[in-house]
Amino acid sequence: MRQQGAVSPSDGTSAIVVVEKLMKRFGRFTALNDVNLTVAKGEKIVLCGPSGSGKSTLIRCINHIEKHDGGRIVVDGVELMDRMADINSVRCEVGMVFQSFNLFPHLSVVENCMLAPMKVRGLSRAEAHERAMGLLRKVRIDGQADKYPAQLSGGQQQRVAIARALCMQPKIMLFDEPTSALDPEMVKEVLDTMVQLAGEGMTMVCVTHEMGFAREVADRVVFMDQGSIVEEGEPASFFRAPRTERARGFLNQIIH
Amino acid sequence: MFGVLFEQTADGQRYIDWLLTGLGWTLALAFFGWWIAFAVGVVVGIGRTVQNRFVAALARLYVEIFRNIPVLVQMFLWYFVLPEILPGRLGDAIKQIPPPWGSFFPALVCLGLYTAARIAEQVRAGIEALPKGQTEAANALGLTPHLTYRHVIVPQALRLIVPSLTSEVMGIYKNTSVALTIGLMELTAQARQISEATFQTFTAFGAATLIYLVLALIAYQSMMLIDRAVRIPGSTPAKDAIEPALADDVQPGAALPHGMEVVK
Repeated sequence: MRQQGAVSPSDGTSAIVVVEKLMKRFGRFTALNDVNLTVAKGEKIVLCGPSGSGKSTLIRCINHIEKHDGGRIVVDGVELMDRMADINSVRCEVGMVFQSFNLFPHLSVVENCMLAPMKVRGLSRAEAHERAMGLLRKVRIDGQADKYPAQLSGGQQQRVAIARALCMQPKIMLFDEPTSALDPEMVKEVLDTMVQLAGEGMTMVCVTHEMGFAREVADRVVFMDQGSIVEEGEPASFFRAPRTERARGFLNQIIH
Repeated sequence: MFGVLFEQTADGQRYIDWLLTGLGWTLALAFFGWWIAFAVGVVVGIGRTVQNRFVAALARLYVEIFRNIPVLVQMFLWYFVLPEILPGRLGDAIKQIPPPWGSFFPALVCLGLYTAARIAEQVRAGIEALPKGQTEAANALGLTPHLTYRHVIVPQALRLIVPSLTSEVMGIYKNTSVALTIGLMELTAQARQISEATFQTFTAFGAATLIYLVLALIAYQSMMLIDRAVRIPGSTPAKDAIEPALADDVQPGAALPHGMEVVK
């Protein structure tokens, strides 16, 4: 399955995502410029930075929703190039949660969770249903399994989206501003779910402006600006004493 | 005034029987033509939106050809021209199909493929109206492009276009009347025949008009039922979606400009 494009992670066996010299352009605009990032198994990384800094683009490149223009991305030992088979096998191992939930509105909550396990992983309907219900219970929304996305609140929809991604049993979860589209009173229920997931040892890369979450959960905070990683470090030192002027300016703006 | 319809004809039937036979052909043509149109239209409409440029260009070509030639001309092309350009024996075989079917099949193919081009454009519009996030979410879950279309994109796009498909349903059965030009004795042709036999022009075409109107109403109502049946629970039709917002506006206090509060 992984003969072609198989590359051993550059530093040790514990790295699950290796990004090297990543370049991404949208027309003339350079969205990512020479980005290097290694994510170890079990590590929780929070990506932050001003809007337009390229943090969303970076995690969208990790599962090839955006195609990169230069550099290398290796996920779980598979290098992402143009081979569709590689891309799909990587996408199975990488779960993604979007800012706008992107649940499938024509499918019920439980069907949203069953679709990919049945069609991609080849699970039977009963197996997929059992797995889906288990994970919906975990995000405490199993009581709504037969409702449709439009009948749920934003926070509930986002928890379903998390469960849907988990149903593929991914090795790593990417979160693209998962709480930015939520009403304030619903942010906590989603963050609690993410904290719980982190506690279970899931590898996570989160783009978020929730600095409380970053403090509590992150092993590493990565600060990006203008398409490059400007600074990274442990949350305690990053928040207390950011080394760069740009990070200091950013923190001043978001922490009132 | 419609009394003449119940008079005996020269061949021992009543005139109304002529009309009903005609109605039968009209309905058969519209019904089977619709399924051809729907099947081909969905496939071509999807083809318009795929990444593969060759497929997309082919689908575009289909739409432009079949949508931009008048139905009447297409009818003549299928009936008169096609048997001539096909290799001798095949062309002869087509010409020898016995009377009603020899007109029916060309008319069926013509209306089916013409309407398919129109449906394809609706399907394309429906697909393009879906948020990009749907495809992204499906891709992120590892669904292949084929599975994404099959389970995520097409089911949503078809629901979206039910209202605009209503006019295509009504279009195809109205266009069945063009089949009289290649000799199919459908409703309009029968009306004309009655008018010629009885000189009751008003009665003959009046009856046909009423039948067409009733058919239109039935088609409209059934599409409304389908629209309701496939509607996604929790989603609201566009009209209803506006009303709650209006209701908010008339709530006391809400009408005050931002920043002003009622002093108690």
